[in-house]
Amino acid sequence: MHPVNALAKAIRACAMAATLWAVPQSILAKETLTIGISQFPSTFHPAIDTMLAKSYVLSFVRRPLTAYDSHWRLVCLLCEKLPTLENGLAKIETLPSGKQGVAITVALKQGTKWADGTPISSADILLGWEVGKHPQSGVAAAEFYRRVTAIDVVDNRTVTLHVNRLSFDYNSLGEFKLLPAHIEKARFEAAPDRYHDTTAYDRDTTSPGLWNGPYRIARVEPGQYVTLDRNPFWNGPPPAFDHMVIRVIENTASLEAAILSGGIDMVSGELGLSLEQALAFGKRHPDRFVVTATPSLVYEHIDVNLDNPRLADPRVRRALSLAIDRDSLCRYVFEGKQQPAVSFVPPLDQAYSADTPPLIFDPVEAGRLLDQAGYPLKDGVRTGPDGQTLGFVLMTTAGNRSRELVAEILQAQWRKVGIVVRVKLEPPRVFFGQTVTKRRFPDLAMFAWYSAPEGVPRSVLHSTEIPGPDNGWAGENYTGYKNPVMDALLDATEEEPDFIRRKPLWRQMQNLYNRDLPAIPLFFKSDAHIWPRELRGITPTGHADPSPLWVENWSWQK
Amino acid sequence: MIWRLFSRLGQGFAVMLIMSVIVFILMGAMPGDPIDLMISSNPHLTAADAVRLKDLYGIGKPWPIRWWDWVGQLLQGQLGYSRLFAREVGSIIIPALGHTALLAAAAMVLAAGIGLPLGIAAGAKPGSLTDRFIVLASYLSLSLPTFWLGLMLVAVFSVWLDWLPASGSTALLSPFEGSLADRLRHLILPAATLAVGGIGQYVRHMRAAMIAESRAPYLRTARAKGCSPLRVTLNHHVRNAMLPVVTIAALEAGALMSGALVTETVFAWPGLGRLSYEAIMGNDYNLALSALLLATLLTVTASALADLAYGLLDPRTRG
Repeated sequence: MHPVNALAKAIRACAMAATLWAVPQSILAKETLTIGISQFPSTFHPAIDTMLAKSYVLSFVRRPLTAYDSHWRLVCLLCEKLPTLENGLAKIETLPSGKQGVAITVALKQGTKWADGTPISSADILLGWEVGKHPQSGVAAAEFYRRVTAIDVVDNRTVTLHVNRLSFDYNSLGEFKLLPAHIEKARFEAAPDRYHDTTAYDRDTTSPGLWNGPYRIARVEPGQYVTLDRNPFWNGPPPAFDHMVIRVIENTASLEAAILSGGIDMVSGELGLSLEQALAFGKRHPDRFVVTATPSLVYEHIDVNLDNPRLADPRVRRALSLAIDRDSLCRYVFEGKQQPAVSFVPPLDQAYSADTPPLIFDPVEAGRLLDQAGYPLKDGVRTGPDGQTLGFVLMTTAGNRSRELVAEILQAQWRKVGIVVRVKLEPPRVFFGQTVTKRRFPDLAMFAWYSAPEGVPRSVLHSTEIPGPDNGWAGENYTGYKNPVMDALLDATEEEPDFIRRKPLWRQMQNLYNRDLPAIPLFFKSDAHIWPRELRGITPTGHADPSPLWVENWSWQK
Repeated sequence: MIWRLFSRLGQGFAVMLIMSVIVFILMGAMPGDPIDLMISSNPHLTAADAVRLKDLYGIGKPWPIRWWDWVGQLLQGQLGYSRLFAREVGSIIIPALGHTALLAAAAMVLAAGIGLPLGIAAGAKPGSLTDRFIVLASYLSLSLPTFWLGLMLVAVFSVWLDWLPASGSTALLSPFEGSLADRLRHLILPAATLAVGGIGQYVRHMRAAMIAESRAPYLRTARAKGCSPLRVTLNHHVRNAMLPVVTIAALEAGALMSGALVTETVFAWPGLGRLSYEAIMGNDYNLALSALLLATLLTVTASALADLAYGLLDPRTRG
């Protein structure tokens, strides 16, 4: 090469380098976003198994028909228009039994395609239904599919679902999972009873045709990571990142180290650090990371075993509640970032009734009630007519530091009114696998419920939902609560489609709950999200529809 | 020698058979099955769903029937299907075994490479200042909790100095992904963490073996023949003192293959220890059994190899 040409090339290279150096970092897009989560999904099939890790990962690569947004409003994601009784897309119909059902017409958004270019069609809705209602397919929550008695195909992207029951959330179709018929139909029809093993979602997870979100799954290493690439056939706003990496780091200390060392960019709020860990992290690194605490639908409470004669007395339950100072508990343990619970409905939910009598802190009244119930104070301890000390065992999960701390504080607060409480910790697997689900806690069990916005608590409060050997230990009414009035209210609330008429039913339910206290409310949890300051557009939801359902709004700005 | 090998293989087979029964019984005795856990996290599951799913996954069957089914499956060369990862067990276990083997080998090389010379130095002159210092350091290495040490190494080398990655086995989606340099960078911290305890072990055993052999008559003979002290130490003293250490190293290798759970968890290293733990906690029978039996097989093999090596190194034990 001629020396002059070489010099010219060198100058050009230097100029290019200088230009690149001068370009603001915001213009140089970040190509990959790496997210840390603490669990790996056990399956990638949208309807088989139910797991938070799965719904988090799938929310990048699949769009449900409907979802609740960050304002807890029901919105259409894959459907064209939310079907309602008002807009005529949902119509009440009378069933042969005389009961009311509903016909819901759903049209898929124009131009939506699977990531291999195949248009999403009515056939995919039909297959989702066929698989969902088949008893051998392995679909976990099949109740919704079984309620659909028939599907009329209107055209290639419109169907009418005939549901045999009119419920208030008739148009919440997030649980109805579409399946790509061009891939899954043959596998399902070949052997429905083996489908949970043969589905392409687990056998060929990276097949593009399985996915319809802004991204598609590109690589999977079981137990380690999932990488996502852009879906070339996504017809919504393009997402900001070319690739996403979701890495599994179970240990929270390692998760913190990974984000600090740059191994991951953010920690998922849905499956990451606990609130107090995240708050402490935010204080140590305020300049690099945003730490948010989003109020969620996770309701921390104490289930009371109503079969225990002492706890069957409502005065004792009320005294236990009155002796708890929820405000100072939330302030002390969670720096006021979690909201004290005044009933089982979170204040952000539209079903919440502000005029529900509050659960106040009144140790004097608690003492009076205990006196009345026959447990006078002797030497600082409440003693019953049989001479036995009024004492309970409070069971909860081991290894959850904040829960253990809350248990200690409750123990101290109850001790002040003379109730002796022993805290017993169990590994979560034992606690949830046996103690709670088989109703083996003698007195009190502290844990959380996770529900959807305006989720009717049928499974935890209805008398037909008490787990036992007769029903295969299904149902979540672990307290053994039986109240025909509550049963009727639950039934009526579920079946009332008009919110104006439903709201008073919710109020009555909350009043009754606070009167009967089958469980003692504590607080509503907040999800702790950590992301770098450069990342914008994340809207944590606080409920079961995770924030990546709106990943196309995320961006990277210096 | 051949007879000894067959005898060891027979013993190993019996151990594995007994282990499979024990694992089946213990896992069956653990509270909560996968469907129970699913019910507790999903309010949409009905009683009918629970019964249907238990029947579908064969969870309601008694353990001897499930064990017999599993044995039949194994005899056909199938390890079964992992419920936790929705994959063939073999496709999960083999990569995990590879990762653990790499980590264990690196840790062993590091531990033996540092621990044995230190043990020799300490054992050659017991009671000396060097010996005291090495013994103290070995106590320190043995008493450092792996979990804490791992996090400290991460804090220093990953967070503070930013030299090495904090977790994983490769840099995903980077141009260097999967390269030798990339793999080595990811290996250094977990291997160092795992090696530290091993260093103390090697020092202690090597030192003890050296002291035990120091009064042996062959050493006096060697010295009387005019061998230099270095030659006496390396050619006679160390060589004979290595015999018990070989056994310990072989057993250590077997333990490392299955027992690196803490290190693997801290560094999110995708190995066999972490996989076994997840499988047991997730009630994944096929995966847990295969992983635990593989660990047993490795330990039994390591022990058999130690026996063979012992025979080769010491003619007196050949019988």
